[in-house]
Amino acid sequence: MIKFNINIIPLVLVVCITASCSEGFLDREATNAIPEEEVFEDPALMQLFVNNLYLDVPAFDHHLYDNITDESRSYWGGAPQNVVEGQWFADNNPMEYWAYAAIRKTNMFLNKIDGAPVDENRKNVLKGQVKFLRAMHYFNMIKRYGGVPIITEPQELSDDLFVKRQTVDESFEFVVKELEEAAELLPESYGDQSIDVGKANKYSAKAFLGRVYLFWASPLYNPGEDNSRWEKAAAINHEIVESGIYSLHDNFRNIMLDKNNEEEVFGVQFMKPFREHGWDSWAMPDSRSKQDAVRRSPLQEFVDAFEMENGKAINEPGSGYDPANPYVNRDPRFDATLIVNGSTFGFQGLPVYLHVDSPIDGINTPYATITGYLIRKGTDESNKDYYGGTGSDQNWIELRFAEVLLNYVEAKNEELAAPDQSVYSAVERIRERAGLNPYQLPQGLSKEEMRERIRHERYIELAFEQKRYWDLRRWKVAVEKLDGKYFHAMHITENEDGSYTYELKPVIQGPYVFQEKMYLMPIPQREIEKNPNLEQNPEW
Amino acid sequence: MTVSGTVVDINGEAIPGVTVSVPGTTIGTATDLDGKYALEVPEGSTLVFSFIGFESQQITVGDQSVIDITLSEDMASLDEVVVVGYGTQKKINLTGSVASVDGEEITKAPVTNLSNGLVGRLPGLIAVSGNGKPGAGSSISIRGASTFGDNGALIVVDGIVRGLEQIDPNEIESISILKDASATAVYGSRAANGVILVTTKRGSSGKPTFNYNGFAGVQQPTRYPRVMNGYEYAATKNQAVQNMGKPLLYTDEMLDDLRNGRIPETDWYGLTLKDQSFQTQQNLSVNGGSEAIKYYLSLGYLDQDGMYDRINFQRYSIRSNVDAKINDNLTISGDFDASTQNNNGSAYSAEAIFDDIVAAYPMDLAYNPDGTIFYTREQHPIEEIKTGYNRLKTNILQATLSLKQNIPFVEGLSLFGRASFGKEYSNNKHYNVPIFMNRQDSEGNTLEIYPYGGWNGKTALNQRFDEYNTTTLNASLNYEKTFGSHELNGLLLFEQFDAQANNFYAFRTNFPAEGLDEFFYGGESQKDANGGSFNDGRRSAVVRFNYGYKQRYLFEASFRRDGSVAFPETKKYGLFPAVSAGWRIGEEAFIKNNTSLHFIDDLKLRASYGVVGNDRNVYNGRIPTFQFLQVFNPSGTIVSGSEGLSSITPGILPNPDVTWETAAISDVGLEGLLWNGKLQFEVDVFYKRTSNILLERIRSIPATLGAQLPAENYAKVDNKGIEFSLTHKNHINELNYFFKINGSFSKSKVITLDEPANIPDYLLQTGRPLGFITGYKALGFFQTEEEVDTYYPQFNGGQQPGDVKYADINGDQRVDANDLTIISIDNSTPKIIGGLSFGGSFKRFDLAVLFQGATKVNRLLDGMARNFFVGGSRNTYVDLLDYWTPENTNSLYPRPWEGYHPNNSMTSDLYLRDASYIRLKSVDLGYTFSDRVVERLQIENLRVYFSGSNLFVIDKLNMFDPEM
Repeated sequence: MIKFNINIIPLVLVVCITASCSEGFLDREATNAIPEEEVFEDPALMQLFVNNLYLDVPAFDHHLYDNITDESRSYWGGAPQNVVEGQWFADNNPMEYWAYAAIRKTNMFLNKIDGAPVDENRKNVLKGQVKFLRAMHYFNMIKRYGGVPIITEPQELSDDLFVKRQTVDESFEFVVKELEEAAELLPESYGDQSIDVGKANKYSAKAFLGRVYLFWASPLYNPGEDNSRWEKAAAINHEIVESGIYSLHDNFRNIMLDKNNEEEVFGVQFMKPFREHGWDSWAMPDSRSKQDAVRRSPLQEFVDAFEMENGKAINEPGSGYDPANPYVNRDPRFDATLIVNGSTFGFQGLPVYLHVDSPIDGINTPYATITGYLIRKGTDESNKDYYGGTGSDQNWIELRFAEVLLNYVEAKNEELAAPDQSVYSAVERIRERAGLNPYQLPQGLSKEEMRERIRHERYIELAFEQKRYWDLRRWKVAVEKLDGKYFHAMHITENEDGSYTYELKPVIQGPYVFQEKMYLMPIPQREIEKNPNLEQNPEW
Repeated sequence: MTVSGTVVDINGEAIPGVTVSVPGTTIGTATDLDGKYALEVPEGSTLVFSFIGFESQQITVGDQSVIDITLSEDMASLDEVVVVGYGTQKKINLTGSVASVDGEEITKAPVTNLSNGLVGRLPGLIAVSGNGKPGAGSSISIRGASTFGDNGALIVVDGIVRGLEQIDPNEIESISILKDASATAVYGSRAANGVILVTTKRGSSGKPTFNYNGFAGVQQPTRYPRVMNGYEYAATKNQAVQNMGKPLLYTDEMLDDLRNGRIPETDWYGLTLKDQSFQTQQNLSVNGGSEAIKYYLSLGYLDQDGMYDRINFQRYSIRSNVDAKINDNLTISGDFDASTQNNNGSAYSAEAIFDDIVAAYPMDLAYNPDGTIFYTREQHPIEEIKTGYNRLKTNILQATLSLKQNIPFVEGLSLFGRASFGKEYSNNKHYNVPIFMNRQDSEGNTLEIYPYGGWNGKTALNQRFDEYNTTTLNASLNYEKTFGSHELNGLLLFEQFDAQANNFYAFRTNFPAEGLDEFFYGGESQKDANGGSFNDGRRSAVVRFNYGYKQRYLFEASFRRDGSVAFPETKKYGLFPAVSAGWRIGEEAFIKNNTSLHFIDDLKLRASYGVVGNDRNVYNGRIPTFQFLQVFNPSGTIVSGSEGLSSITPGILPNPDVTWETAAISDVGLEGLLWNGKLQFEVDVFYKRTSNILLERIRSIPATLGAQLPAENYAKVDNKGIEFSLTHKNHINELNYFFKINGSFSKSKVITLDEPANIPDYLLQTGRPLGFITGYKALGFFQTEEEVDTYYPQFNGGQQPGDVKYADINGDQRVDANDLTIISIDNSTPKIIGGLSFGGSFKRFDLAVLFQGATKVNRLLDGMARNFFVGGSRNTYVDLLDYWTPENTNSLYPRPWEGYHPNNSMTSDLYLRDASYIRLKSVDLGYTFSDRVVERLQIENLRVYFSGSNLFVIDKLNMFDPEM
């Protein structure tokens, strides 16, 4: 009897394994992920997907783009030094931006959204935002490489993946069309929809289109000097200026600190503890640093570009510039942008000494400025919580109203034979807010003189906002302004009586190498290797 | 009465040192040099003659007073039984390629991790020692690389797939390495990289035998890279900054002071790393039983310190293997093992600490004169070791109940069933605390208190809980019967595996004080919680059939059908068959009856072919990746105004056809036993074609696709090789000795792989071995500016004398990315490896020595072994002192620079090094106490031993350990 009972156990086991528990055992779903079908059935999940697309928008840059122009240099060497010295290649380009992973996500979304069960209004909003983001990625590639492959559908492995580059004009046309469509779909504002603070709206799409047109009209991308592009650029930027949606924030120093103010057109939102960056940390002199510091040492050339408060250039007769006391009575943006020897900075309210042999922060001591200057722009001096790459939560303002004004005046000035009053008043709007006194430009400037005024204004107003490098390229002046040049540092020596002696010396790193071929960056080498239809830019 | 006589071997030669004893008494003696003995014994006693290497003989003493004995040599290897998949087989009947090693051999020398004990002992097993961290094992592969990605073997412990690190080596009865398809096909879809079968000890009937094995020892690091001292650092740094156009950092006076020791330096190595660290392993087991119940119970403890304070590994393990014979036909076994493993470490990883020890600036102090922490800004390895902690506690339980039922009415038929639960729980608590450096001026006034490290300068606690629960069920029918000259053996088996896992993670920061390391103390502002789950399942059927005729002609066929959750509906099941045959030539009359061939005891030729699978590349560790589904995964957080919003992002591009990799393996082997077992040899030649290899076509698919690529079944790799082992055992008088040599050589060749459309032939992988190294070909250094100017344009120009000059490979008269070429076919996995062990016993002493070596292995120097002052300020290996200057033009390294140099840091053959080595892996010297001593202590056997591992290495690398 006992024996019989025991015998039955393995038989039951065998039966179970072979038959009764077979159905479904091997048909399982991943419990750590969401199937795609569910995403496009559920508006909440679709929104989460769109949220993710905003993570792909470039924001604060650690130390590359400002340190490869005539704005500043990096103490730390590395990528910016390599770019300055011309040591960047098809297989090693620190500025590479091959954004097809981000673009695929936008394509996946746009491919599925039309059939998704969402109300029409919301669908248009989401579509508009995604089209805007996709256009932004393409634009960021075009400004580097010229024409790029335009892909608008999520490709499958079985598709022909050997895509070709469009021409520069075709690529711009695509971005223009997309931004126009985005502007159509997007609302003028989001009212009280809290999840959409800072997301693209009708006007940010148009303002971005204004920037795109400006680039397209610029010499690098407009070798045929097609003047209608300047006209279009002027018109669309003018529309934003006239709409009255945006205005200049009254305090230049606080543009980045007073969050979501009237000047922000489009940006990347930050808020501790959800999303942080290191802007304050990176700006610190070593004496106040926590694990990172001194990422930008402004160049003497940049410092000298600031006018006096009276609106005259420092070398202009009657400017009142005193080489023995060079940092006083300057354009008020000077103090909002720079830390000079003896400037008060930070929550401690103490001065920072950058002169030769100053302990810790003196020029060319380890982890100190290499030019005699540091930057103040955008920093939150009350912040005590900065550390390494974290602790700051200013928004990254990708596009602000001052740029819209500058885009407008540049385009309008180029469009016309000589600047009209609208050009003067827009430039003067910026100079007035800056606090120049008088802020007016001299009347009767020629087109060329006005062009230099506008470029100067961009240099000062948009400094350290990752704009200068691209301006120098699109104007095709990088070779002239950068190549072969040694830029300068200010070595300040403290005299026994407490006064200072100022001595100009070339900054270490240099001379700058900017070859003609570098106006268009090389297509990444690995992509050239993989795709026989992809043409490399000349000379790379 | 007195008994005397002579003991000789079968050739009539006297054997000295043979133990002659009467069991159950203290009566005993040993033969003298002429093999003679004389002994006083009670009448009717039984005499036992025993000697290592010979079969023991028992003689009952009648009335004869002279007993001469001929001992025949131990031919136990003919009866040797080896563990194979789902069963055991006599070694002589094996038709597959199986190597095995006894637990006793592995644990003779102290081994804390089983994988380390296998290194150099088995032909075809490639084991590379790990990083030497406490508790760390070796990475093990069988027969070299034959697929991309994971080449690790499947580890099966008592029928359950587990990790080797979970097992106390003292619990091991034997280990079998299954190498060819006929041996592994019963493991089907997971067998392509070979299988390691571990069998634990079981009880045997008889009085309880307690066994204690313990050791305590110290370990020393094999080799550390040496870094520059203060003077070397300063002089080289000056060169570097000068080359970069920066002002010099050290005046001649400072250099002079440094050289003469007038400026204090800190010995960061000496202040952090211990000269030696302690380890101990203790194991107490008891085994015994009656006819009905047999048991093996074991308790083990391992405690291993690392090379600096606060890094330590502990393992407590228990095992209970009990077999209950319920009746003549039914045996039920319960196997339970449980262990707790503690991995204790500093908050900083061992890698980070070691990196920082090497990086630390020699002229920094460790502490200020007032005892506060010196401000080093970048790293402080002494404090990093002391601050915070990272502790991982893993609890493992495996409980298996199995039963064997002989079917009484069919002779030879039995039923076997097994149910096993595996439970793993791990709790990881990682507490980060900042180091507060006190920055002081030269007068000792505090300038600032600088928080270094922690989590953004704050305290932070990460805690993670993981559970992994498995159920393995199997049931099988076995049939074994001999009909005259015909031997039959059959197996039919079903198996099911199910796994469920969960994890939970939480994070909190801003703890008020260092000691308050529980979540509820944490601050409110920055916290996070996360978690998830996954599951896995497999279901399989196995059939195996063996047939032997006259013990001469052997045949085996087997197959396994596997189903897995990891594959789509149409590809869920795979079939993995194998056939093999053996011919025991030694049993044939033409050898047996040929007197000149009498030295052959056994000789067997065997051959096999089979197809096995590999599914590792659709798993991420233990997690099936469901590559046939498009899924969305949680991603980062964006901000809108003051709110944080979560997001999801698409996972990898789905591959609806994803299925198993398959390996077709042919193997021919010859094995034999010669001269009365004095020489044993085994040679195997194999050819393995792995196809349907799962690989992302990352080399050929343009990134404009934008998707994370799925693994696709398309690549094909051939792997051919040979391996051999040779064992010689003999004795000369009282000296017994053995030599064992094993070696393996394998060579892979890529048959199909995605190739970029636009690369030159000389960079194609197809037709070449796996894993070759590409880079630039260095032509030495530019010696003069003129040489730079007259050479082809190299990259974007700007080279100086002392920079590396590269070859123009494609002949376009410029050097750029199109000049990359193959600089080495060999990589860091050796293609030829071997082991040599020898030893023996003399009187009461025994010795075992193991050497291991590898060649056809190249290492590419990187990071600090390639660049000066990585990151700008880190210290540099002394090897880089041989750098280019106008006076030292024939140097190893180019002119110094800070960190990565855009021209000189490129991968080139300048940085390629031969990493061949021969290493004395272990030496083990033991002494067995005499019975008289031992009996007084009431124990059966007492052996003490002295042992050492990794005692020296001969190599060309010098900079660091060749296995690191």
